[in-house]
Amino acid sequence: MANERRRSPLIAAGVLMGAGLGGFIDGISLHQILQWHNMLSAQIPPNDLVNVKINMFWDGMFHAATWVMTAIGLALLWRAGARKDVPWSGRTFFGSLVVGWGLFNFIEGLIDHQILGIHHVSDYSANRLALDLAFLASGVVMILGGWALIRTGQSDDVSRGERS
Amino acid sequence: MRSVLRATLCGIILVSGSFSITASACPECRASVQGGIYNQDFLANLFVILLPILVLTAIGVGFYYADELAERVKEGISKWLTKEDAAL
Repeated sequence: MANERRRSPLIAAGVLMGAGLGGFIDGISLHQILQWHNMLSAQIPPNDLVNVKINMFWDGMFHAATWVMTAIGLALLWRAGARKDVPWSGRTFFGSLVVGWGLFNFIEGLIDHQILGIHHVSDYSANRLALDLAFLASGVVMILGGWALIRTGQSDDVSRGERS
Repeated sequence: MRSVLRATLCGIILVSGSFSITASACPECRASVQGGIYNQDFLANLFVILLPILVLTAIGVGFYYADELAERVKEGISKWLTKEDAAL
C-alpha cells in the first residue's frame, strides 16, 4: 500500500495550470490582440468607449479568476512534488497541461458560447456558429491528445524525491 | 549625435501624444462606466464570468483528492458492512 503510485495529483496540477494558461492565451490573443470578442461583448457590444471599458472590466475579472486557478495549480504541483507516492513524469505533466487547455476550450466554449451566449469566438464574424464549434472541437482534440501523452508517461514511476 | 536625434524624436512623439484627443482617459465617461458595471446585474454578471473557472477549478481540485476520497469512501463502506455483519 505504501509503494502504491498515484498519478492523479500531478495530473490535477497540470490540468489546472493548463486550463489557466489556456485562459490567458484566450484573453491575450482573442480579447486583446485580435479583438474578436470580450467577456460580455454579445450582451454589451463594445460600440463606444463606455461599453469598451465595461467589457474591459469584465475581461479583467475573468483574468483575475484565471490567475487564481493557475496559482492553485502551481500550489498543487508543489505539493505533488513533495510526495513520494507521485511519479515525477514530464510526459504526464505536459499531457495534463494539454488536457487542461482542452478542458478550458470545451467548458468555456460550452458555457459561455453555447449555453449562456455572452460572447462568441468572433462576435464580428458571419460564421459565428462555425467558429464556436471549431473552438469546442479544438478542446476535444486537445483533451484526447493530452490524454494519449499522459498514457505514454505511465512507465515513469520515480518520484521527485527519489531522483538522483 | 544619433542618441540625441533619437531622444529628440522620442520627445516629439511623447509631447504630440499628450495633445492627442484619442489618448484622453475620458474622465467624463467614468460615471457611465461605473454605472454600467455596478448595477443590478453586477452579481449575475460576476457569476456568469466566474462559472467556467469555478467548474474547471472544481474538476482539478476534485481530481487531486480523488484517490483519497475514494479510499475514504471504501473504508466507510467496509466499516459499515462489518457493523452490519456483526449486528446479524
